[in-house]
Amino acid sequence: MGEQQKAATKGSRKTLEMARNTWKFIRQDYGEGHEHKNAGKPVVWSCALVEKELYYSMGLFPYYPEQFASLCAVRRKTKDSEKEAVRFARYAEQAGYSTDLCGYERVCTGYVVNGDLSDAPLGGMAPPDMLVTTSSVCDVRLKWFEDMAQRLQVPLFTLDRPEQVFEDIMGHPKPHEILYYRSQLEDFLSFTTEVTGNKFDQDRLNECMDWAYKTNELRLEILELRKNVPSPMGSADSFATMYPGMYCSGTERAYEFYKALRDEVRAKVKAGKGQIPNERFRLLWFGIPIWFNMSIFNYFEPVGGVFAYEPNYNPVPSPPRNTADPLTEMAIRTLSIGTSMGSRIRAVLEQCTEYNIVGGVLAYLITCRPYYLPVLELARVLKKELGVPSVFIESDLVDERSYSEAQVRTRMDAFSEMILKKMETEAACQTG
Amino acid sequence: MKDTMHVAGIDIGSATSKAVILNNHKVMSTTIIETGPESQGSAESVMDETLRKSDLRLEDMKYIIATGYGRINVPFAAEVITEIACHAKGVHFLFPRARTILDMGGQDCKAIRIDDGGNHVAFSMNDKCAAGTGRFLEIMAGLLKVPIDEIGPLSLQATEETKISNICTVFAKSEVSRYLRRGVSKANIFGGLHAATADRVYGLLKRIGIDADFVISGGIAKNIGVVKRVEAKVDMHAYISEEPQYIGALGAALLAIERTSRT
Repeated sequence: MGEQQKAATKGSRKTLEMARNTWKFIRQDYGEGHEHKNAGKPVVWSCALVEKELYYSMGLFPYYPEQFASLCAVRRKTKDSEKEAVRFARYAEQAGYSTDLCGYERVCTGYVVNGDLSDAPLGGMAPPDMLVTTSSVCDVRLKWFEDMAQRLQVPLFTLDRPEQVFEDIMGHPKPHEILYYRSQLEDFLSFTTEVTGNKFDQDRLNECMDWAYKTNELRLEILELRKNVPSPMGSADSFATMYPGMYCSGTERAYEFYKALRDEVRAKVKAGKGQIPNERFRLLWFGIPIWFNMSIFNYFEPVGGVFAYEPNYNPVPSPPRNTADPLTEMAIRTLSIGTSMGSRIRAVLEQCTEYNIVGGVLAYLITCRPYYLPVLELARVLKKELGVPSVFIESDLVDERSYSEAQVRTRMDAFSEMILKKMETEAACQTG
Repeated sequence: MKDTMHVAGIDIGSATSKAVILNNHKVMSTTIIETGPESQGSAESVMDETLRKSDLRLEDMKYIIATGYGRINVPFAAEVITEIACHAKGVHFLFPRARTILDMGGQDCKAIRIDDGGNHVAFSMNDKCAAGTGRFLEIMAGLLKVPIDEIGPLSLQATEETKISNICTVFAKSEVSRYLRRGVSKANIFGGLHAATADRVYGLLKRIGIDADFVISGGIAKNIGVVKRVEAKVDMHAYISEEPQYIGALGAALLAIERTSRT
């Protein structure tokens, strides 16, 4: 293995204890899922942007193929073997799937094509009883899940979420949209009862929603703390700690995790301790991380650059609890988030100001339309509205074979030279 | 020897390695060699030869800056700087009014906008595909058995540029082979290849915005067939130095002077 390939697959240096501990949380979660399955209880494979509390309230243990793919991006079967993500992607390609498809899809399809679901990191995802996807944001997920469901011979449910076009990231969904999405959630509950025999229990759902609400409040508090200078928690820490919030929302263990994380970040802010000792400039990361090379988040540290903010996987305020009708509350919560490009870009612009961002690293996978199109517009708007320059990084999310380290290094180096020169010029102007 | 201050810039590109030694702002010697399989070996060879030409030793260099794709493998360099910053500095030295640079190298193409101090303020690079780069044209020259120096003038004789629809080097090779079998002239084929190259780099330039003066650097700047087609696209005269391949190394050496003047 060449030096270049080794460098391209390095993990990040995390600054928070909780970020270093997330791995234990994930390992435990995977183990619990297997125990759940072995006890004869149902398992669901699902995806981001589906209401996780529904699963816990219906007695389903969820796994998330996208998250599983990112896990495979950092794990090897043996010390000398290729990454598990590459192994599974090859199985998919051997079955005829194009290398142009998103790595999440290829890795998980290859994993299924391989046949032995336990032949994977952490023993793999426990075999599913059903699959649930959503129409929201990612169109590949619709056919990808349909394909997996057919291969696995399990039923599939698709939640149809109306796209929400607001001026801002948050807005007010129309009554008929709320009714429609609520009916989708009800259909999901009926489907689950049909597949598993488990009945809907509103009290149980309210319990999960309570945990989710409280967890969300903690996560919002952490986001506020992250605005401090120096940055107490960067993107490497944030991506490392997103798992409980993204995938275990509605559980007490997720709440406890963020409580401890909030306390750690708060203590760092109080002590005036940043990610690095001499923070000089703060950057935005836009896009899904390059999971096999998280060291990219430490790249600018030698010249004083830190990634202070990333919009992905972060919480937004929830509507007030409605224990009399938690399904309507859930529908409003989901539909209050804008899904249009304009909403997302407007939100990032505001966040760049709040987090004192001076440059943006915009990552995309060329076949991922929900990210590729916004990065082009975001770069234009960041420059025009805020005078913030950007650099583009193209890469698959989990398959390191197409990653060009030399290209990325040149872009990042030239970008930091540009930012440092700009800062030097501005400082010279200020001192007259 | 009191007034001498020797510095060097070394540019380890994917195709060629270049070195420039300056005494203050005067060029003492330059060398260009093919980059071998090992960047460090190429760096040592090109530096040794450049030192030999000026009758100098490595210890005589007050500061050395390395640039290019192999920049991190130059053990005797005091600092590494990207080729984007170095081309900006080198072009600014030769053409002080330049604001837009198109650097067309062996492995990639870069569009660079610079300010009145020779600092890059925006840039865009081609994606990972080799189409439109020096390597792409070398492969096509090899396929059509035309010396690389002749493909530019030959393409200007084109009466009807072929349409090369594929941007993938491998598929473009298939297209070219098909044209050859159909008896299409090499001039028309190179006309089409150069037009396709100009199309791709024009896209990069449009992304950063094109301001006068416009300069082309890098090895492909020597290819008159590409230059003429890019000029037509941007509707502007392209300024080109006598030795466009040295601009990165020259810029590195100029930045070395800046570093020594700070200390």
